Amino acid sequence: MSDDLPIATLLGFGPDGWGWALVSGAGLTLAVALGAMAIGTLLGALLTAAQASRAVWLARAAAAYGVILRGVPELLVVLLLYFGAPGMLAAGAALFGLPPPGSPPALLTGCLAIGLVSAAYQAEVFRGGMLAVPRGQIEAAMAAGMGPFARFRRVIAPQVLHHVLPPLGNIWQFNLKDSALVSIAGLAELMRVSLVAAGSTRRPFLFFATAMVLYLVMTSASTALFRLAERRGQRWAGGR
Amino acid sequence: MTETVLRVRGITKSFGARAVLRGIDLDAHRGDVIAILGGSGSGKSTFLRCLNLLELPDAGTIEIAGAAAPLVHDTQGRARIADPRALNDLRAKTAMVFQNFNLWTHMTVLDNIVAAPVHVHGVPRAEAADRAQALLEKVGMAGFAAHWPRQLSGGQQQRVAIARALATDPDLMLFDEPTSALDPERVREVLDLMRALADEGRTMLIVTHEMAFARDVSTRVVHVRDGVIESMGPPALMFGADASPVFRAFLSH
Repeated sequence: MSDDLPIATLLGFGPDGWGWALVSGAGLTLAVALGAMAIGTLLGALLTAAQASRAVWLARAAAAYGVILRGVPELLVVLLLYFGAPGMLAAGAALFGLPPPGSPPALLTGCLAIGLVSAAYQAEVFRGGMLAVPRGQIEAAMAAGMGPFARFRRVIAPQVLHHVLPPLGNIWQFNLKDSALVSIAGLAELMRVSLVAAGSTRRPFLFFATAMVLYLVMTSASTALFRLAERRGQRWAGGR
Repeated sequence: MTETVLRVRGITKSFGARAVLRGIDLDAHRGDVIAILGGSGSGKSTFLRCLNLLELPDAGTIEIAGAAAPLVHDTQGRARIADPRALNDLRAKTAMVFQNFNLWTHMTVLDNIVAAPVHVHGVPRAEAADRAQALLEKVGMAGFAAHWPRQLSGGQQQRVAIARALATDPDLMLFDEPTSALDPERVREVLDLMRALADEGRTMLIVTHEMAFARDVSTRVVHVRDGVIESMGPPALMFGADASPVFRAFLSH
């Protein structure tokens, strides 16, 4: 019976302690959030480019993606991917006459689910950032003979980055918190570990409070990092 | 026989149903300072922006110091540049000074000036920075290398923009109403600088409303009206009694 175990033992790293499980859970939470952020940035940038495309069908498809993914609960996307992926993969494999490959790893599914939603929001942020670069400065780069890559690297990207850092910080924080939804897929991230610990020790308050503290440590540490990055880029814009 | 720096033939451009340029030919030799005058909506700025292909003409040829970026037309008759590399090569031989300066706001004054030499022309950074310092001195902005554009007045920004334009030693400098966005007391400092460039033999095309400057500094005055060159000639002729009546009517506005 763990009802009477002292807090230090329960949260410690001994045989009766949940310390390691909590730490590795927090690590997985970070991994899901980081993976989702990376997928979201990549796909979000592609969506932004697609929305600016002259091919109307591509622009519309990208816009529709945003409307759908921003319009449904994240939990639904997680469930859809987690329970839908094995079926979709099996159907895909059947097309090539292969046996069903089974379920993809929960970490991958989690990153993908949160990342797909993150991409929809990041695309909006990037679009706003692109619009904030004065047309005249892009023309000055063209007039100087810079090709599309040099224009992007030297003029557009630095200014877009400056405009998107604050909203990207917000999206990162949402990613971090949304990763808790992946607990439903059985991934032993922080939320899942605290649920299991709370259940098996019957000390829910202790473990949920601990999870809360760990989430807060992660969000405030990353907020501080984003602030630092913002301040570094702000000198030219008049901030300090 | 002076070298032809700019050779333009048959430039046309429409925005939708509106024909802005209706066939313009123009040559410039090294050292020419050509003032392009005309009313608003005459097409003079569009013409200038066609020369470095910031606007894509519908038809015509442009040759700048031996570089050309031929147009091709798709099945619907829309023009595009056949070879993007030729486009950047052509642009790299020119430099443009804009009405609104268009300095890159996230770069210091120094970085604005070295950007094209380093990232387009492959000049080593240290060498480009040395040259940038000399150019800053020339435009009267020595000591401002570490400033940000937002810290400068309009006249100062435009002088930095001119230093940026000079940094690649362009064959042809394009000025698009360079003093129109300046406070009246700042116009002089920019015009004086442009006069110094003309004196040292820079080839310049200047879209401007500064009539006195056109008369005193240019080697040729071009009057654009309704998308064609209505008349052109040396300033002594254009501002004299024998000028075209249409140009004289424009001047008397």
